[in-house]
Amino acid sequence: MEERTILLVEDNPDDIELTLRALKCNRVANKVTVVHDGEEALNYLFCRGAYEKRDRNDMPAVVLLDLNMPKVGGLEVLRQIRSNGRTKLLPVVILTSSKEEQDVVNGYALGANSYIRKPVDFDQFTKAVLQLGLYWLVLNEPPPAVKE
Amino acid sequence: MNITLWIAKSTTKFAALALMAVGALVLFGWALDIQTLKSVWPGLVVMKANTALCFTLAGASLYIGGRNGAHYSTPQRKYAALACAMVVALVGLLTISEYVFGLNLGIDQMLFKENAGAVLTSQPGRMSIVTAINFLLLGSALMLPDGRRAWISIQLLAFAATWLSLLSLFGYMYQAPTLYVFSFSTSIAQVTVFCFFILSAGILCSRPERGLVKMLTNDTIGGAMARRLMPIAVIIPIILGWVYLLGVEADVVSPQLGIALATATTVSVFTLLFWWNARQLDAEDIRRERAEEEIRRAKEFADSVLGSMLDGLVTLDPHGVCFDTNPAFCQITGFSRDEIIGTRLLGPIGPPEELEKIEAFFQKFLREGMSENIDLTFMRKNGERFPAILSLSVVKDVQGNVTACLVAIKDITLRRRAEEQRDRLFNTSIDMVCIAGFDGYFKQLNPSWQRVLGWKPEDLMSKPFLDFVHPDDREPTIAAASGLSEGRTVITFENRYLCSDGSYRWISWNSVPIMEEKLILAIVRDVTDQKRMEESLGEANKVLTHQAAELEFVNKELETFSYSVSHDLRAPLRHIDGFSHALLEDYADKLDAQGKDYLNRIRSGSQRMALLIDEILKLSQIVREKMVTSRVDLSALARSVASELQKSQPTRDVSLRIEDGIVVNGDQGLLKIVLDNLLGNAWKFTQGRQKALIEFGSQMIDGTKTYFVRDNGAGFDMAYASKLFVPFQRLHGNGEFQGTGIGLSIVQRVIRRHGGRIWAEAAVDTGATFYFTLTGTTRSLKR
Repeated sequence: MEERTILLVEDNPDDIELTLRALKCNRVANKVTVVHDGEEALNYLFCRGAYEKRDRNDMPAVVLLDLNMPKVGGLEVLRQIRSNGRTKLLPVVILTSSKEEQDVVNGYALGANSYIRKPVDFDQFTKAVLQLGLYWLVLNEPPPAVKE
Repeated sequence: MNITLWIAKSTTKFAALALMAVGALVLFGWALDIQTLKSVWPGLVVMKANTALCFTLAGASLYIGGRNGAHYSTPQRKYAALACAMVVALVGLLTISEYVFGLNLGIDQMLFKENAGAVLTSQPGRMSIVTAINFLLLGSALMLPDGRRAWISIQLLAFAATWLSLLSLFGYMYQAPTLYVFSFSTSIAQVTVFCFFILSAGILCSRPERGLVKMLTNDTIGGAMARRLMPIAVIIPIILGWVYLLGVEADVVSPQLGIALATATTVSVFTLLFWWNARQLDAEDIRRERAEEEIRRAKEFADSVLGSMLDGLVTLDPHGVCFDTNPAFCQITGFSRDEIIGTRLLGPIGPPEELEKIEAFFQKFLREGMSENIDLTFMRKNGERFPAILSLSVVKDVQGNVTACLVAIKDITLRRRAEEQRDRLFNTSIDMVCIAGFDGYFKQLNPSWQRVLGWKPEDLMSKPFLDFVHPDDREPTIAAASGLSEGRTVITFENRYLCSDGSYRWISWNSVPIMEEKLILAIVRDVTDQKRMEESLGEANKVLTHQAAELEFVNKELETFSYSVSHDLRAPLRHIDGFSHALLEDYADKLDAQGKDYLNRIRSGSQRMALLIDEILKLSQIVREKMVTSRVDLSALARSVASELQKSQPTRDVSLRIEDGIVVNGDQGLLKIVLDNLLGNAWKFTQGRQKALIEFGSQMIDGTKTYFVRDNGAGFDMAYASKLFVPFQRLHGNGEFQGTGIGLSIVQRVIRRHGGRIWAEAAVDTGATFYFTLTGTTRSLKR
């Protein structure tokens, strides 16, 4: 399997730790890139700021996006992804604590590919992450890279 | 007294005096033997002494007799006059007998001797036969009594004497001696002829109100005609006769032609005269007819006015006795005209109690000649009393004496009744009613004013009404009043009026102006309570609006809160659980059994808390959820919930009885939550029952359609029924039955939002029944 990276956008270090742990438990060996807020996520994807030198063609296989973040929120990140020609086809999975209807609706409206609410029970969370990885990293056929 | 009458009366007096004077003069001539005095005028035939004496006596008789008055003034004068007249008649009679029988009684020379051979004298001193006859005639006339019948004889006698005199006169005039010279008799003197005319005229005029003279002196058309024709009738023939004789004697015309001419002229003149007179009569007649017509019309007009008058009218004589009425009076009183005429002072229609008043009024009226109209009560023939206005006026004659009183009676029963009804309406109206003037003062007020404002009517009328108006309302009130004075109607004008206790009340005016009387009619309503209600309603509305805003704000807050609960509270729980899991997995070898147990407890605690958080969110969501009302088939909904339950535990044997056709108005989603919970509870609490029975149905309770879910499960102690619907309150331990204790709270909120209520009946181990209603308005709260 081709090395496909996962971009985890999450501000909470506990959540980062637990998410990485769940991925590890499920033996997902893909490279996981962690960015700690929306702004960093956008910089990474659009190779700006600290990520200026990054290979533009290296796009993650899936973006795991938290909603509640300082500076730029998750929905704003999603909006910018969808409005940019290079990233508009990028699979984005919203991974959040919120089950508020308005968040779900807004997420899908902005073009989220999936919406997953993190269960409190870690066993269930692990199962969810397993299915997530299996689906997006193995089963799902990624969109073709967009040539500039 | 008219002028002709005066002339007639004077004629008699002057005739008497003239006769006495002539008689005395002639006697004086005889006494002194002066020829001129005897004939009065030189060259004329002398008057005999006896003749002069008779004229003197006749003049005296005429003078003393004084027939000018109604009677002889005294008996002495009467007898004296009679004696004189008798002497005159006797002298005439004796002289006649001397002529007739050829005697000489010696009376001719009784006074004075006359020489024989006097001119035209048969016997010396003897008067002529014509003179004697005349004295007999006129002396008799003077002797006759003063009666109407005798007057005819007197007139005839006078006419006869005049006729004889005229013959003699014509004899002298036409120089025809055959008329005054008789072979056997002395000739009559010219003066004597004139004296007879005077005596006859004097006698005829002594009674100017009688006979021929009356006709001459009358103001009537006959009198006028007599005065007009008489002189002509006398003068024309005399002149014609004279002219004829002149013509014949001068041989200008033959006697035949003269007669023919005289006759023709007479005929023509008299024909013209009669035609002229007839024309005068005709004109007079037409004038009189016109006057009669005018009088007749005036009477007809007066009659029709009286007949058509609506007011009753009676005419009374100055003593108060009725002599006529008009039809209206009879109609008003019910009495016939004949019943009223002859009665005194409106007798039949004056009720006994009013008689004195009527009498006093009438007397005062007669005394002062005028009166004001008065109101009295009268009585109809059937005894019914009626109010009337009485007005009197008098009719006076030329001298200013009252000849009649006119009494007009106006029946004011209807007016009085209308007034009474108006007053009753005015006085009993709950609304305030008033009449005010354009001058700014109240004129009339009904009792409601005192009831509402506390002022007595005289208080309100003593000052301009503006003084009672609240100072802030005066300007609009002045504007409204001036609008009324210009003829505009004012509807629901409101202002505040001062009450006697110093407070103000709001009153609403409906006013109309009566322009010709410069009055305002108003119906006024106390609207203070209404105003207060409006004000408090306005207040309540303000509060409600404020509360609604607050509620919206609170809802917003709640939303934010729920969001943070749902998101932020769960994250730490996940971390607790996650890291507890990590510990158990990665450090299992370093933990003993008790340590692992603690970590497991931490994990289940955090998971339960997450569950509770979700339940709380659900609860808050129920309240915030927007309701969409539609027809909901509860029976179908219940069946679908039941089939889900059976699928979840297919092994359980539960009999479900669901009533068909229960259809309600409500929110489909929310009602499903109700049935989910109630049927879910029933399912849960019947677990372990051998023959579990769950029912859903409806029944009428206290007239309200009520739905129920019944089971034969564990039931509960009714002592704790009050805790059933409190969130997180559970009547069973988690060991017995799983649950968070939020379900019934949610159900209750849904029912409440539908305007219904929910309650339960149960007993431990026999089952529970949950009843709910969905009546009332299905109000939807704003999100």
